[in-house]
Order: sequence, then C-alpha cells, then structure tokens
Amino acid sequence: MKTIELRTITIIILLAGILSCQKKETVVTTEPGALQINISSPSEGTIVKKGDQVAIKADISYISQLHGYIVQITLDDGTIVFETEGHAHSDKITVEEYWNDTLSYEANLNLLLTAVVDHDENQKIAKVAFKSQP
Amino acid sequence: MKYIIGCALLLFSSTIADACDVCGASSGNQNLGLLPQMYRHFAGIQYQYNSFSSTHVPLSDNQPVEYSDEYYRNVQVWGRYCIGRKWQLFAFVPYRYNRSTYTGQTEPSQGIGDATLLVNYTFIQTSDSSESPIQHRLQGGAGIKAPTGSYKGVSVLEKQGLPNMQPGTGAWDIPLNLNYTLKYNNTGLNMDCSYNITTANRDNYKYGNRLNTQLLAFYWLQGSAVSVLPQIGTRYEYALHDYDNYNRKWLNEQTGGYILSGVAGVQVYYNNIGLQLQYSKPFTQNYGAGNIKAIQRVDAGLMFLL
Repeated sequence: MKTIELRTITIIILLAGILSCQKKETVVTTEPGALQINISSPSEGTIVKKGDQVAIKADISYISQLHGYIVQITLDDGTIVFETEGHAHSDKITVEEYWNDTLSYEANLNLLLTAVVDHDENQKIAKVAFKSQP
Repeated sequence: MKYIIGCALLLFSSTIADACDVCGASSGNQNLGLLPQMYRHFAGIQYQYNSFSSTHVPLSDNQPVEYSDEYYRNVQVWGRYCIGRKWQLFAFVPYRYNRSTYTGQTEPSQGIGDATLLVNYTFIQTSDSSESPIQHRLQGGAGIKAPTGSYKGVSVLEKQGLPNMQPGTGAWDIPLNLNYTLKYNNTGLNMDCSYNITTANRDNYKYGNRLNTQLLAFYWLQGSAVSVLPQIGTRYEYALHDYDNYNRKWLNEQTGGYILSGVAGVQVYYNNIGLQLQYSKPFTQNYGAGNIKAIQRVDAGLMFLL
C-alpha cells in the first residue's frame, strides 16, 4: 500500500515537472516581408496648417507577435514635436493617433512609425514626409 | 483525550494564497496549510490583502517610466467535508475587490472569483492509539477551479505583461496539493505545496502554471479553554510565463517569476472556533522581468468546526 502511495506522489511530482516546460514560437525576424507597415495617413507631401488635427493611421502586421508601436513627428533636424506609443500583443496592429498642429512656422515634418517586435530592439521604422504651414 | 486534541490539533493555517500568487491574480493557488481536527467538517471565512507596485517601461527611450500600485483584497468562504477517515472535500468561493492606481487614476475591479473544489486523500497518518511523541500526516489531492468569476477579456495591462485585476480568469485550472505535518510533543513543522495547472481561456490567454510552497514551524500553547499556536516560516511562490496566445505559443516573458517571503502568524482556538492571522513580507523576488514588486500580504481567517 505504501509503495502505491509513494508511486502516486512520484507521479504527481513528475507530472508537475513535465508541465513546467514552456514552448515558444520560433520566428526569424529578418525574414523578408515578416514585418510590414502601411501608413495610410498622412500621405507623402501632405500640407497641413496650424490648428489642423492630423490623423495618423497605419496598419502593422508581422508573422508572429508584435509588442507595440511608437509614433513620432519630427522636424528635419530631428527635434520631436509629437510622440506617443501603444502596446499590443497581436500579429496585427491598427494605429490611429491624432496630432494637433500648433507650429507657428513653416516646417518640413517627418512621421516616423516604429513597429516594435520585442524588447531586444527588433523593430522596423516607416517614414512619411509632409509639411506644416502657419 | 489530550492526545486526540493534540493530534487533531495539527491545526489549521488556511493560508489561502489564491489572490495574486506571484501576481497571478485570480489564477493563484489554494494552499491548505495546517488544518484542524482532520475528521471534522468545518466552514470558515477568510480575508487576504496583497499589495504590489509595478513599473511600466515605455517602448521609446524618450517617454518617462511610469509606476502603478495594485491592491488585491479577497474575501473567501470555504469549507471542508470529511468522507470517512481518508477522504476530504474542500470548496472555496472567493469574492475579490482589486484596485489599481496608475498615473493618478484608480481603477477598481470586483466581483465573484473563480470557485475551486479539491479532493484530498490521507496517505500517511499516525495512528490515534500511538503513544509516540512524534506524529505525522501526509495528505495530497487534486481538484478543479471553474471559471465562475467575472472575466471581460484580456485587459490592456495584461497585454503589457502586467497584473490581471479581474476577479476571474475565464479558464479552467487543475490545482494539485501535497501537505505534510510533523509534530513532536508541542512543536511541529508543516510543509504545504500546491501546483496549479492552468489552461487557456476563450482569448487563448493562458496564465503560467504556478507553484506555491510554504514551510511553517509552530508551537502549541494549550490553556484550559484556549489554544494558541504561534508560527513562523517561509513561503516560496513561483510562476511560469503566461501565454498571450497559447495556440500560437506566444510566450509573454514579461510575466512569471518568483517571490520568497518570510511568514509569521498566530492561530487561536476556543471551543469550536478558530482564528488565524498571518503576515508575510518578501525577502527576495523577481517577477514580471523585475517590473513587479510584491510589497506585503496579510491573511486573516475565522472558522467554525461543525
């Protein structure tokens, strides 16, 4: 009887050990087309004016799980005039952010959309150039 | 008679670590700890308070790091029904009140949690007729945790690998437990291990399996009508990573980890009534890739032997 009980306990412990294994999807981040970014707004060369609300819309897709995105609007010299970010654990992200143009001078702007795959700096950046006029 | 009381004593501890074990929130384990008179039914109510602080690391280096605090409160009705001298049935029905403060805003979440049913078998038990000053008992069993609690889908915080504040998990789990008590005269040791095998919920989110183990030393001070049992020990909680999508094996490495805590408490018995109070504070921990810190935990309980 004691042997059976010992066996039962051993099985429980072994079962717990086996259930402690964790599989993880293996993905090659550099695979061509693995990470795609499609920015639908603003379009290249768009001119916006002070007081306009600029819609930033994009779709990001990846062959595995994404971690999030970073949206930046910068001046030509790299100065950031707007930045926001979003987290998502999915293979598809729909980005919809808004920036209110408060610039009182003419400026060449760049929209930089970074798709973040993981915390190991696996990411891709897409860029759209547009202009602001007062 | 003294022996029977002493043996029965192998008291109760009811460190029900179900709310947020290693921050598993509603997916935590059910520890039984030290239990009173093993051939009697009982019913009781328990309260647990657990607090954590979390660090939210931004994706961009330009964004500031933000912080939040999480407070988990759990009131639980539980009971034991003895079937013969070997089998015992346990049931737990929790009500959770969780609160998170993040960027100055407080987000409460409350409701009935996931109910658990456990069946335990006594593998080893010192005979009642034994005159030996050494007594021991080994029990183990398994059960099921049903998704009876409120669950509204994967939250934003969970997507970030941070604690789930919802009362329910939306998933069925299989809890296993092993409980050993060794007593020499009025002094004893209790080791309690529970392992929770989780399954994926409707969103394919799967909490990591969780191990919760506790070692307590206790001493039995017996008065004419009242028994007092001070206890001290340690608790180790370990959680595997969660899966954001179990079908696709999307492992969330921002979740899981361990907490090693010091535990001190006392139990008091008067006739058929038992009271319990326990406090624990982490010694060392690494949870959620170091972004989540357990602060402290308080357990209190009242039980009635039937």
